[in-house]
Amino acid sequence: MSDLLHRAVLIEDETLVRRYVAIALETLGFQVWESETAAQGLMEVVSRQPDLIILDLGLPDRDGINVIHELRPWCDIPILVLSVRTEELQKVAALDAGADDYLTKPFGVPELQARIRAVLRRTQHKGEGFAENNSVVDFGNIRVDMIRRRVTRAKKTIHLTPTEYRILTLLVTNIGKVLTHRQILRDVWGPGYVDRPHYLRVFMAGLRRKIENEPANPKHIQTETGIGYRLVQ
Amino acid sequence: MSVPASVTALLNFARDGIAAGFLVGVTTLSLIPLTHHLMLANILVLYLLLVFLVAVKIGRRLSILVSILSLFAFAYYFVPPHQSFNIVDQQYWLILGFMLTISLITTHLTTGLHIQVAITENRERRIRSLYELSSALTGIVTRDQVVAPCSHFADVNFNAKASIILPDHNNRLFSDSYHQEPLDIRMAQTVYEQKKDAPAGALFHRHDRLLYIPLPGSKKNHGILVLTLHASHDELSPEQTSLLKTCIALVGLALERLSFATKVQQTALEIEAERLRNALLSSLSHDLRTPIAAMAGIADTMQLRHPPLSEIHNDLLNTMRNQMRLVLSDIDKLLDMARLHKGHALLHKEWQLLEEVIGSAIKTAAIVLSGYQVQVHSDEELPLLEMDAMLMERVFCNLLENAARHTPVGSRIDIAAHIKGDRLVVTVSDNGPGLPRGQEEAIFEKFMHGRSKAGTGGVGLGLSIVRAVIEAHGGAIQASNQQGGGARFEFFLPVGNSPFSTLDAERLP
Repeated sequence: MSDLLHRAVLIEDETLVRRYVAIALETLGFQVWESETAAQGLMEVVSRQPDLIILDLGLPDRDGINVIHELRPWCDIPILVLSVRTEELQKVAALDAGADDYLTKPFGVPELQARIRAVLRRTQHKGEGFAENNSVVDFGNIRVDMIRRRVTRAKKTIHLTPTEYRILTLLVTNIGKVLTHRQILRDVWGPGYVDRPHYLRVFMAGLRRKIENEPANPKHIQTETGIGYRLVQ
Repeated sequence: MSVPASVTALLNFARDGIAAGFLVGVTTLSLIPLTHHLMLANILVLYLLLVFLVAVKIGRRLSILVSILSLFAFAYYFVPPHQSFNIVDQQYWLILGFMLTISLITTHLTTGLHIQVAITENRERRIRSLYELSSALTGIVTRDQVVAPCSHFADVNFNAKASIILPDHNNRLFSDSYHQEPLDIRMAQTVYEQKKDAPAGALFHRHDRLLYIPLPGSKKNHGILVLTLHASHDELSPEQTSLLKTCIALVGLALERLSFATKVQQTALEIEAERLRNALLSSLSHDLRTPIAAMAGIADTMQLRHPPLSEIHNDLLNTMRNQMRLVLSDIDKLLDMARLHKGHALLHKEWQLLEEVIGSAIKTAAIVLSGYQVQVHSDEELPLLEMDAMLMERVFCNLLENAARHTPVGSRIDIAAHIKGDRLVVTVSDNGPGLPRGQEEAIFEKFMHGRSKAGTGGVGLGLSIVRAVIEAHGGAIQASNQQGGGARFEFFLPVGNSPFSTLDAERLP
């Protein structure tokens, strides 16, 4: 990945954090524009047209969530949010607003790099549309064939209910991305059901039982406590 | 010194008779010289005027006496033949008959009016004093302020002294506020505790000259009112009784309003305190985390540089990172403990799957658990449980970290969950050296360390957080050693009424 030069805008007010995140980005082959405030960051995004935005939620001049709200109507550049752990509600709000992923401080540089790679991989595929190689997704020994609407586990077809299938395809098309309870409920059941996360939990339990080897220690459908779910390849 | 009723009545009658005789006598004596100057009809009207004035100014009984005496005086002195009752003309009998009738009717009407006026005045006075009482009670802000308007009210309306006895926090009445009369506090307590729907007769309890009256609220009595009746007071009249009922209802309402207001104020204060605390904790957490995040990140970044670091430097950096992770987990625990302090924690409860919580705890503790075998055994269909997922995840993380800390690498850690009656029973056990004997309870204390591998100290808060969270969820935890060796933590959580009795997903929309 380091052979093609990506651009990133990094909006973070803590100088030390900004410095090491910038170094981590540079080693991934990014050209980085740093900014301390939301206002400056938004300007950088407009002028640089980056491939990635890294955004701290606690900014001196504005809440990071407002920045996402401001960005999303006109741009779909992937946004990776940085936050302090105790703010589950803030993370959910950021993801609901349209952020792609979040990282809790403190985070390891290897983890940061892995998340960046996952976010970029997903957004690059998005541009290509659902080509044949994208309509079939493999993870573990599971294969989801979205054209034939078939899910197999170790080459054996597994029977999913219509709802389970919709949840699974939603996770698959957003592989690696955290989907909040609200997003999944809205997409699968409809806007009237966003306040009933227990529906989702029940179906997720069913889905895990069919897909995971160890449902209580899942490899693929991971729970982000208090936030939502993420499918990991 | 009591006088028989009949004697009193006789004395009253004699007094009235003398008064009536005097009035009629004076009128007659002043009319006699005018016998030949006035027409008989005018004399008759003057007598009627006397009757009327007596009825208006004095009263019914005297007025009747005056009308009868006037009749005789008129018949004797003015009806011809004068100075005899021998009435010749039959017409005069008619006149006398009319005179008696008119004077009696006048008496009746005027004295009736008197009574009406008196009743109205009385009623007005009562309403005014009730109004005064209620406006005095609306303004009060403490319970003690109830007493003064009540005393005034009782004094005006019942000619009695009033005291109010209020309960303390344990619902015991305390009699310090009551000085004037010896009070039967046991009786007061009984009256205070009686139910709202007690029989009607139980409204007032009388003992000597004291009336014990409960002050009713919507759920329980708020205190009692004690009336000290005046010595000459025997019974309360029906009006007074109904007035008293209105009065106690008013006072009960005022006390109820005060108790609700106090509760609201208290809750508002608690919410504010909780808000401040959370603000403090989250800013503390932010301020402690940020520099550690920077340090850990810089350590990582150093390893990214080219040329690669020597092995010894790499090792040092790894150690540094691990130490920072430990510091961070201690900070987390201290903040968690502060948040759970005294059960003030606000739980964000939702219907959760235990499986998910265990899964994410294993994921969170992955670094500590590397090299250990963690196995989860649970009933196939555990119901949804109402809990705070973040806190319950801390419970499992802390138990897992605890197990990893006290057992050699390669040990097995088992998590088992099953339903037993209306409880979910969870055990976390290991096959390590087990708990120090006799310390099974003490390990849940704050800042308590068990036997541990060197250099894995920590602040010793992990297990006390576990206990606090489980107790906040209405459960309990205990630790023991297993038969075959190894520590075993067992806790239960109440199951509650899950929104779905089973996890039969197909029945859901």
